[in-house]
Amino acid sequence: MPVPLLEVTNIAKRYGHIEALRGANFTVYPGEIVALLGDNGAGKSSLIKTICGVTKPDAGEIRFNGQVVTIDSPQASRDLGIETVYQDLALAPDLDPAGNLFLGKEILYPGLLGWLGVLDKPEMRRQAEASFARLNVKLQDINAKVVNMSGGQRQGVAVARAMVWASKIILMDEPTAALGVVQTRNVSELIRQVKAAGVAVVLVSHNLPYVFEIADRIEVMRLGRRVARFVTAETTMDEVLDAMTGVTAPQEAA
Amino acid sequence: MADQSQAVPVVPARAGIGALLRSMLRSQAAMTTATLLVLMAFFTVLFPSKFLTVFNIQNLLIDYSGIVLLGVGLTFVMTSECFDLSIGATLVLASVLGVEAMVLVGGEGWSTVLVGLAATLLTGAAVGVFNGFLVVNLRIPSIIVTLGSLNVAQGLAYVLTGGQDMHEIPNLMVDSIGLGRVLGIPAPVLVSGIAVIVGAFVLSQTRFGRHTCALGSNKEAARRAGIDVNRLSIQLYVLSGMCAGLAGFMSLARFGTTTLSGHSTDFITALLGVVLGGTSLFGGVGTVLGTAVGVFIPGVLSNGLILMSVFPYWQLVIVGLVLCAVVYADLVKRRQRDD
Repeated sequence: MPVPLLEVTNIAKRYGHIEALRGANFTVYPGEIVALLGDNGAGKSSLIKTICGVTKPDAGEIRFNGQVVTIDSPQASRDLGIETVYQDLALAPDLDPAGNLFLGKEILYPGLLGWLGVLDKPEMRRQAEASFARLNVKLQDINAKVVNMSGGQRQGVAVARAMVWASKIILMDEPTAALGVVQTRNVSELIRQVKAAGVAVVLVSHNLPYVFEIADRIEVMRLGRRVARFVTAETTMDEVLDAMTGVTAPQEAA
Repeated sequence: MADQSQAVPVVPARAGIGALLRSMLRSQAAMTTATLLVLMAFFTVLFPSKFLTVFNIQNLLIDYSGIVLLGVGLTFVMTSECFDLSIGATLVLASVLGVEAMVLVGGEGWSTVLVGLAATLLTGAAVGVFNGFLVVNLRIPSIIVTLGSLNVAQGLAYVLTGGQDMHEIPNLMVDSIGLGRVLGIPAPVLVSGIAVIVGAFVLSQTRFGRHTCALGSNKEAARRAGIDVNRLSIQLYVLSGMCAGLAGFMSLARFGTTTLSGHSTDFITALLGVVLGGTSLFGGVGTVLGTAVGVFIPGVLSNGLILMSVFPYWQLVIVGLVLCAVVYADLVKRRQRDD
């Protein structure tokens, strides 16, 4: 095994009297597709939120490329080259796809206009169009507001945004939950493209067949801890299910 | 492949002239402009020698120049999905403190007038910081915060003056700003016109405007995109307060007195202009040009009603009813959109 790109160890997070994470571990290797599996309440979302900087863990260590790092804000996570596709997509519905792609990273005109904060809309639209074309995200009208788009198209915009900005890892929380068969296939295509570009993908999903179709590795959480790790090609759905439901004993101690 | 075959038939349909016309009709700015023109045509036919005269239209523009200034600030705040009920009272408090400041430094010259301008703008900014702080840091809903600051500002204005209007305003200010003209354009109209142009540009073409729309559209998305939404909210309240402060300064220049009780309906008129202009009550969408047009619907209506010798208080009744109707239309549109 190569050196892990992201190594999360012994993360604890408590909400009131609920222990969401009890010394959770998680590993991502460069350029792989790894699925994070677990039943409801296993701590998947809490772990993802820790990595993307939405919540701060109470204890634990995050190593990125072997270095200990602190991720205390979404920006800190992004600065490491980690982008997140949230389950709710986190798009601004009243902006167009280009506006969403560049939200918070707007391109300004050079010189005086830029100093005044004037947006270079043509340039952002041009780059957005190029990105959507490269990623094969099909939008009927690049000028339409996101609110007027289908669920699949919105997903395309959100994934494309993460892909354009991510240099190391994309976290995807239930990327196919709201999608039909065709759109799910489109998202799979996108995920494979991300991998081909050398960016690792972390996939949080309930959809076991989907995970088996696309993931290289599987890490299973249960009750706030990692309980099993599998290489997809060398395991079966039954084995993974047993780990998720606690039929098999954990592979590693907390 | 499947997607391409789906996309092809849709594109030409969208580019058709019929669709273009429909989308223009759907745009509320176009509807508002059309409504304004119909209203104006109506009163022109009714009063051919009185309504559409240079004198009357000019008066109308001057009368509503202050509301336009309030509307510019309110458009920004409402685009970010917040409210500012306090603008009318801020205007009054700013004009009182403006006079106080000018009395304090004394004199009748431009330096005194500039001190007055600075005092009105600073008052507006201070109310904005107050509103923004309570909304952002204490997370009190903006409608309640600004209802509170409305009363605080109006109350302070009465306390500071003992309820008596102040008149100690340099003649220079009234003569050259209130009654002044630049290239034949009345100065109050010019000031409001510039505010509209700058406001429209900032909201639609700059990063600040883009972030304002994003904040109103999806606050969480804006936050996750790395936008400092708290700082932005406070900035928007300061902007709104400063627009009200400037309106207070212009009011002093026009009337030569603090009009303590003269602005109780300013907020609702400005609000009606903002929503008629196409800014959504639910944030995310705002247009300053629409506001500038929208404000003149109650304006023309009121002007026409006076010409018709209708008891002027009916105007309030109509403004209130139209406001409910317009907000209902916005609501229906939003529900359709979200389905």
